[in-house]
Amino acid sequence: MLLILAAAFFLLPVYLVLVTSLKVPGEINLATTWQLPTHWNWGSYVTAWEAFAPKLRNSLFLAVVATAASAVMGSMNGYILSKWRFPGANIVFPLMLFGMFIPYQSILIPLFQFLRNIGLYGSLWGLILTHVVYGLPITTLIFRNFYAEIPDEMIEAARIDGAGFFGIYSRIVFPLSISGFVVVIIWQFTQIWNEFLFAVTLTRQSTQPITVALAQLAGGEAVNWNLPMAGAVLAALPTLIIYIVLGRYFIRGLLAGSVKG
Amino acid sequence: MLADSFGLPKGAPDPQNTMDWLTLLGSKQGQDTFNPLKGSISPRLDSDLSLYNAYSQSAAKDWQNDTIVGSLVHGAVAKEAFMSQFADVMSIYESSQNSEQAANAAQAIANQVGLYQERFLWEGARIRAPSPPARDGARLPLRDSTGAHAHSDGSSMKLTRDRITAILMLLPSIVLLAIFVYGFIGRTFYVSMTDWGQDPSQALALHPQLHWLGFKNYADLFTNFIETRFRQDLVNTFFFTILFLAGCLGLGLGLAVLLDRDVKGEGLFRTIFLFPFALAFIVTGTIWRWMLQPQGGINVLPTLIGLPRLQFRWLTSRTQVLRFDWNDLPFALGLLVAVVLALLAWRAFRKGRGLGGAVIALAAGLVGLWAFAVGRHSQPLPFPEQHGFNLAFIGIIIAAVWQMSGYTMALYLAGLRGIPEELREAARVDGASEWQLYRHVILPLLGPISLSAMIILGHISLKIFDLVFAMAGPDHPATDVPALLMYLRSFRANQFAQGAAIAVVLLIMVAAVIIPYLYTSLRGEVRR
Repeated sequence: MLLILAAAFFLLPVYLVLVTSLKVPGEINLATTWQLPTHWNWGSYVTAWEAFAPKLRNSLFLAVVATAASAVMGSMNGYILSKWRFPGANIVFPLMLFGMFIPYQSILIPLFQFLRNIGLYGSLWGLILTHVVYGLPITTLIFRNFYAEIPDEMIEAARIDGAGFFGIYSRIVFPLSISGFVVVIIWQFTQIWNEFLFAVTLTRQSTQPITVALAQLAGGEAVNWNLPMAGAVLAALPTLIIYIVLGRYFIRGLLAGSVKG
Repeated sequence: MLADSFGLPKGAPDPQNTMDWLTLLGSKQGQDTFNPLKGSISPRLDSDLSLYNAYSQSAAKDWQNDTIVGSLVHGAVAKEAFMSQFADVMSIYESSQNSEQAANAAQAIANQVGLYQERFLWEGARIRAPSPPARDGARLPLRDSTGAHAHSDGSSMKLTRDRITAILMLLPSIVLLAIFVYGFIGRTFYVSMTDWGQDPSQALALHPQLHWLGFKNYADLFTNFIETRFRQDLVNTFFFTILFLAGCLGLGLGLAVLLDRDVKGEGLFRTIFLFPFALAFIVTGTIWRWMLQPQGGINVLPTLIGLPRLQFRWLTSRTQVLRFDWNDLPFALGLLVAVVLALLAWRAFRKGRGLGGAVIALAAGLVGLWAFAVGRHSQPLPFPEQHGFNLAFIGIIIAAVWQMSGYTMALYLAGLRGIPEELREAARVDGASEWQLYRHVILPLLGPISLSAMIILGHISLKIFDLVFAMAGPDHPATDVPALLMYLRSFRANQFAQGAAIAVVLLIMVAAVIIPYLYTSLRGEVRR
């Protein structure tokens, strides 16, 4: 019973969003907020799609490229930090990790200035660079904890068999890390897709990701609520689908977010 | 029992051949042919020991009598030079597949540089190894991530070519993070000490001319009457964090406990409770902004079951409760620290650590004295300034709890699943009621999880930005937080120095939470 009540609390907003987004603007008034629409109107989605398609494309490009780059680099870092430890690694790793907890406001002004200086301010590539760099700590952490499970004996045996640094990675570590990649890719994709602070400070109108566009649309005063609601659904769909289809990996990434993994 | 395992890669060209080869190797004939040449002993009890040399015979006897024998990692006694040249031979062999050539080359290297390190050369019948690492049998208690490799006793810590490659491959990440995290933080700190933004002509210059102000921007934030908004932001963050944590931990724990009882449809419920976590704060904010409209949404919900509608102005309320004077803060904080220290001292005494207790008690006394002598009369501001909890935050806190409590639930659920059933059974047999079971057995075991959840959620709440932005707009004083004010000052008003000072304060708050956390969790790892 309590569970059903709780589920209602979690699902109530979903109901309201869907209902509102399917009403014609004239039918949306505050008194009948909770009622089902009398006419099912898909027009809001068409309009929202037309307005948001370029922003969704920005977000997709940004998230795919930045996720791929930070996952590959994170995998290499995790491999090195778990299997090729060097003096000082115990200091370097926490210093790297700290980067994922800082409030990004504390690096935003120099970052803004830096991107302007190298001519990447306002472009998607500037944002990609940003997400790759600040994604490194978490991808490194997840991969390091993941690779710690690979027995050192296996690495040692490969070394005896003559495999070098890259040979061990490409023949042993990489083939074993498919599910590690799935966890990291899901996590990074979701984070980057949902990110807002960098997006709102480092892009221009034409390179805005979806979160910024949605915030602007919903923040404007004279807007009918059906449109932001349809927009919210469009912005939420990719990450929601990932969550529903690959929930197992999603939860693993989420639990890995706390340092011990 | 001793076990050794071999992996057969998927899609290997001739698996049967591999299996036959391994079977042959394991047979008596295979073992007794191969081992004497290789210098190993046979794990078979029926081996013909006369084929082996004196050392191997003695080792084999030990082995058959179940004596634990220290052993070394394969290749640990080989010379570094041999190993690196041998690696080259093997990589050539990988492509050429010419085994005869490889064998000859390996032999040539062995003749040329020698096979064993000097300190491992035979001496009598035993190997003189510096404290043989117990690699086989019991695994070292250290986890893999400790930096203490079983054989890293100097020999392999030398910079081999692979090790240099490893460091080179890590270097780009280290350099990037060194610049983008630490370099930029340093730069932000520098900017916060300047006047960047006061001169409009310099504000957006690519290379602005800055003048040094020292800590003036910080002093302004805490003691200049103009900056009252920042101080209210700090108070907002304080209340937001407390209530957000209480909501997430309470709801998350409640849901986890409910789900832990083998309910039907558990997977479905879990999915429902956790899905908001996959959403962007901006999406959540947009949705809840609509839910919390004063004339609609939540406020009309009661009318559906015949109750009067609510009148609360969720996001625009101007009511402030729990008000206090900013000038009272030094005294109150001093008193608080003194009380906490006194409690710690009392605990130390009770545990019999008299000296530590005395030091802490002294500190408590000094802080308390300071609070009464200095703190009570200190006036950071020339006149009283009231701050308190803005009720406009309640709706934002609800939305934040809606989004994040599923995460806490997942953490707690993982913890609950880790508690062995026997423990619960034992408590039940002892006559504990369900309530007592949770209160005295399960909750204490979940303590560490609560702590890490508090730290993760706490630092999120200190940084909260997007959610407030989407729900109440970026420039709405009643629901302002430092993270937003920093954005407004820097990127709307171009007051970069003031923005940087706010950012540094924010960083210090987050670091105060995160650094102890990183320190203890990574140190705990080494101990494990």
